[in-house]
Amino acid sequence: MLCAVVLVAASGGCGKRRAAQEPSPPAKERPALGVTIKRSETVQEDERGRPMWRILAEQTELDQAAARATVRRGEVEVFGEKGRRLMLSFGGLTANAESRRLHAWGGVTAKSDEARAWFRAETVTVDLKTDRVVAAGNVRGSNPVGSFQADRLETDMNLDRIRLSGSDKVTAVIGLPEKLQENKR
Amino acid sequence: MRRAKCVWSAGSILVLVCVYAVAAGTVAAPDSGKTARTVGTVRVTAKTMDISDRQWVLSGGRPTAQTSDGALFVEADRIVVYLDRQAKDRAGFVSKVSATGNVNVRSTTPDGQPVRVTARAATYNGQDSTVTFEGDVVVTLASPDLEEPGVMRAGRVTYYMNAGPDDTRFRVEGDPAEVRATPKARPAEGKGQGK
Repeated sequence: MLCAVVLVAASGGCGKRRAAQEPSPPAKERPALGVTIKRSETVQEDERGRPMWRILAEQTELDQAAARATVRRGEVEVFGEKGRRLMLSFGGLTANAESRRLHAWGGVTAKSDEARAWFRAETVTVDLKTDRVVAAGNVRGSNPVGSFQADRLETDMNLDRIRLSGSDKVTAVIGLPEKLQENKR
Repeated sequence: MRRAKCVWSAGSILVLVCVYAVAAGTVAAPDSGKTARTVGTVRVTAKTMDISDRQWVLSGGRPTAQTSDGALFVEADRIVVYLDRQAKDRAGFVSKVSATGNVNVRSTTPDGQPVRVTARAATYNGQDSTVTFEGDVVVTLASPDLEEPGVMRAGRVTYYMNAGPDDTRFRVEGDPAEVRATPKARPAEGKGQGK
């Protein structure tokens, strides 16, 4: 059983700060919390109280008034506009609430149930400010119309439009018959 | 008025046909069983791919597209693969493939004869399984009936991938259009008979 510690944390500039266990420090001082949480669930809200992401992790270190979290081995559910969600599993993750940016590394798998797409990469960066998702390093994945392999992938939270690029050639196979058969049913 | 030349084989008879103005020649498919050929799964390579629900745009590093059965290989400066998500089956999934810029196509006829085409642009249409080549088109077609591969030069050539033995395989249009094919020598009818 996970010992779930729910933190709703945000920086002074981008959201409500509601630390679960300690009173919030003054925004001016911004001391490092130095809090390490084992097996935790952390929900980050924006200034309107909407969730930006939810992190399930083996170990979470909070810093800078809980605006930045460094996470080891876990999953993060990222909430985009229009209700789209992206699930990342990772070896390591830095989540910065001020910049609304997540950077995952250590063998990252990204999956979107709504888009019926997934990809793996060495690193994945999600920027909620610009609605950009960038995956780099040995990218492999598929969406409902094909599978691909590239050095770099750029997309948005909807995964509707994907740009693949590579120092060498990008390879892909368009058309997955089993998926089409599923669609027919 | 411009002049187009067609060198044609009909059995063992070499026929020289000269037509004037815009030539619209056709080449019949050789005697082979009709085979349904449509693009199903396509393997693609490129430096950059822009993917959406309806199309894949391939650019940079001379993109290529090849059907899973190897019947069609396309190389060009830019290739766009159009998809029909409502397709009833796998065959209709790739609805169109558009290639532009130094297009180089390799294909095989249903009876296994190699076809090579160069052109400025090419479009595969999944509805009728045709490939239309435009701009300085050069088609090289090998056949066991020919001494050496036949060559067609034209402004526009339509390749009917599904052509049966009695169907038109190539429609050649140009101003001029030129078709050159040298048939293999065959023994004249009656010769060697009755011995």
